[in-house]
Amino acid sequence: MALPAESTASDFRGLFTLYMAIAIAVAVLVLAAIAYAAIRYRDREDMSPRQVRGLKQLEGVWVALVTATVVVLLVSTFRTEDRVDAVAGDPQYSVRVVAFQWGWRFSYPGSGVTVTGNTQRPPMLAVPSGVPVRFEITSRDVIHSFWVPALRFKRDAFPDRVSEFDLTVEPGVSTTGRCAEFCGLGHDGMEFELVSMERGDFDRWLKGRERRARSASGGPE
Amino acid sequence: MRRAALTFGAWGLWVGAWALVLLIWGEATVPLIAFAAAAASAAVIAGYLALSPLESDPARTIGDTSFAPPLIGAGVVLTCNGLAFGLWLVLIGAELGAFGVGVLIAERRRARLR
Amino acid sequence: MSTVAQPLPRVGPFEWALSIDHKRVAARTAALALVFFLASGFLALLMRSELAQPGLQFVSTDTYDQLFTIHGSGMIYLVVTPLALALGLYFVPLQVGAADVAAPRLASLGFWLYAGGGFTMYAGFMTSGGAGKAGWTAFYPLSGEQASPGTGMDMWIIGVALAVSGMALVAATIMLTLLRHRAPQMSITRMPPFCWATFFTCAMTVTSFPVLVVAMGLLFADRHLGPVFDTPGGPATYQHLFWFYGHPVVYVMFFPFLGVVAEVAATFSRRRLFGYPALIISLFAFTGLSMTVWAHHMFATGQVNNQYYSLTSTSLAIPAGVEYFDVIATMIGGAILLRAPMLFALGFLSLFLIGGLTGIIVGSPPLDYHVHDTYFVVAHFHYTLFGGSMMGAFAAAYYWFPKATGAMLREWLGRVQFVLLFVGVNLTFFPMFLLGYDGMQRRVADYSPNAGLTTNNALATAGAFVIAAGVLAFVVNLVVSLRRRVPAGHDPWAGQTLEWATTSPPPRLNFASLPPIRSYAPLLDLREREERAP
Repeated sequence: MALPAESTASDFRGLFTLYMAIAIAVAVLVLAAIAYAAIRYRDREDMSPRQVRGLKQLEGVWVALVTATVVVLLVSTFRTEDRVDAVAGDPQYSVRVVAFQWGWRFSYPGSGVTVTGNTQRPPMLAVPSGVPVRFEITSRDVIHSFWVPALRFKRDAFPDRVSEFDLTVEPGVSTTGRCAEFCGLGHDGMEFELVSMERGDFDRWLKGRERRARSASGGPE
Repeated sequence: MRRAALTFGAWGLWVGAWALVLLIWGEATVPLIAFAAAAASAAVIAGYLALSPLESDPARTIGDTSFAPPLIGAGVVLTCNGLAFGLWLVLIGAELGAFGVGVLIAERRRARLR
Repeated sequence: MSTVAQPLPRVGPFEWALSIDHKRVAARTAALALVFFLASGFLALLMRSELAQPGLQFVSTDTYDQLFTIHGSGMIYLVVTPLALALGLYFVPLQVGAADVAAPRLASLGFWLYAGGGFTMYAGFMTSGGAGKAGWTAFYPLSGEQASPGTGMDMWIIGVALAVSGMALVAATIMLTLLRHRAPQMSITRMPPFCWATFFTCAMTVTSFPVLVVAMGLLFADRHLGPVFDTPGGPATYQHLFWFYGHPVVYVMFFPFLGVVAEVAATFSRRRLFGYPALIISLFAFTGLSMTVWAHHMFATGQVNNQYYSLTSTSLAIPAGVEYFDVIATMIGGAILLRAPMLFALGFLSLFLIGGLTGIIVGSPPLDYHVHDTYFVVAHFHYTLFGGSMMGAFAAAYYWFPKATGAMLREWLGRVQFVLLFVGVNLTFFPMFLLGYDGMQRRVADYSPNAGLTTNNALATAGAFVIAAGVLAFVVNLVVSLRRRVPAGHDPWAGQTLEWATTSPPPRLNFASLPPIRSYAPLLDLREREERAP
């Protein structure tokens, strides 16, 4: 899946590449060591077991190497997490998300616009692109989880609190989001469509929905 | 025995150190309580081991079979299931368990008298 | 080496059930764990059959939810944990030169509670609402009375509480045996690596298992008496209580098998284990750390200190690295015999490696934000639990079956089984890394046909049946080896530890006499001394 360039997902990409590189390097090294040991020291004629010299010192080097790697990984993780978890001081846009068994309701505070959907008709989540959008999520019943794979981000929706996070979405994104916390029979169908628009387009879209909600009594929900 | 006490004491200190970390930097109380309880129990066990007299494995009479574990076990299992199915099952389980405890006491007394 | 045939003494079923000989209690536990393994594995085959293609072909979503709940619950509460502790219950008294376990009736009671708990959990399938279906974790409020009404869920809660209590009792008796009933010459620093690994296992067990029993009690009370978790902060509190048990338990399911692998590596390399002090210290550090990492399961909740738990979780790589080094360094310089126990030990080392490294990946919160609750995590823990613990369990089986029964397992069937399982584990679980990364969440009965998930699901299903074939090979091996016995003698592997200094199977009180104990490998010492002064 191609990752958007300037968004919450780009933080993930750099960190994941670092972790994967180290994991693959370690895996290759350790598997090679196992293979070397199993093959080179396979029992043959007149072979007697003995202590190979230098291994104790090598162990010290190995522990130092692993410790240094752990430090590198942690520093990178903490830096990336600070960026991903950062919440802007005064966000211009915000969305309220209510997860329920089994669907999603998105509302835009200050405008009276609400979009609801369920497993039959997944709702559309429209957001402005290129700016941090504040999300306030909660659940009406059990724990759900708001996950957008393309953004490499998820956050659980708990029934007893409102959780806040910011997401920045690249323009032109149209991607599926799903519930990631097992919530019963409708868990596998609880999807939504995340669509990003240029700020001007988003403002127009929101005003259009506002007008329709006000004119039609009851409004399409 | 001293070394066993030291092992437990070290374990208690290790867990206690993390409890201290949680006390200073943590946000929730439940994990802190769990950690502190674990550290405290380890300390108590270490103390017991340190203070109890050194003794080699004393001669003990170990039986080959016993009715007590399956009876007490069945009693507990039925009592717990009774919480879902009704008081009648709780009572049956309790009676079976009590019988099992009686069997246990009888077995141990028989072993001591031998 | 004597090869006098030692047929198992004829034991009636009554005596089998009532025996409080620690070896019989352990054998009962292992046998029942094998039964639950086959049952829970069958549930997995049903799940994989359903997931091979998009669309619901065989089972309803409701049934599928029961399948994955009981599969996971069965494997963790009823199979791998009891297997790990059964090994300790059988072999710790032997390895420390004790005549029996410290509290034989208590250990036996632990078995019966586990058995009763297991059957209670599975009996949920017979209720009108079906078995528990809130996952093996039973998060609240999904496991509450409103979202999961019905007796099946209650029976799941009761079953878990009973099984976990039983295992805690077994662990307590093993621990007491280690501390109070070692042979006079066996100081604590002369305990074999398996005993040390089991000691730390039991420490984690007695510390964390009671917390889960309490959590189950509170959950039951919330369902039937009044709000316990139905309060601000309640759902998160449940998760803290659950994971305080839920993380140490995975090391309870790992350590004893690591101990076996260390001993198998030493025995089959015909050498002393490398780095005994370093191994013990790293086990200690690993254990301590394991009690501090639990909320790494809660990164995505946004309600815990992610940095603290990421720090402790990632630090686990350091003692793990030491353990790997010591085992591999034992092989280097050895004269390795690639018999079945050693093959499974090598399988353990290579497959657990993948599980462990991916564990480091999910230990990073920003990365976990994507892969948490997806098939990436499912792949990670199956590599550690199947590729690690179960391969270690099979290593233990091939290593110690001769001691416990007096008969050898068929070597060629062991190799067939090894190849099938090694291939099967990779074929089943590697595609799951890709599935999770590509957007497939956990615990779903179905998935979209346009999401690019079908091929990897099909591969995983094929792999599951390869695993099944490997397990079948093991069952066949058990039956054949017991029917047409090849006598093992008291020490078929030229072992290093005390269990090989007695008959196969050992007599009721384990030892007629003990050899001198000057290190953790007394039989190796004896052999070396005999070679030097014939």
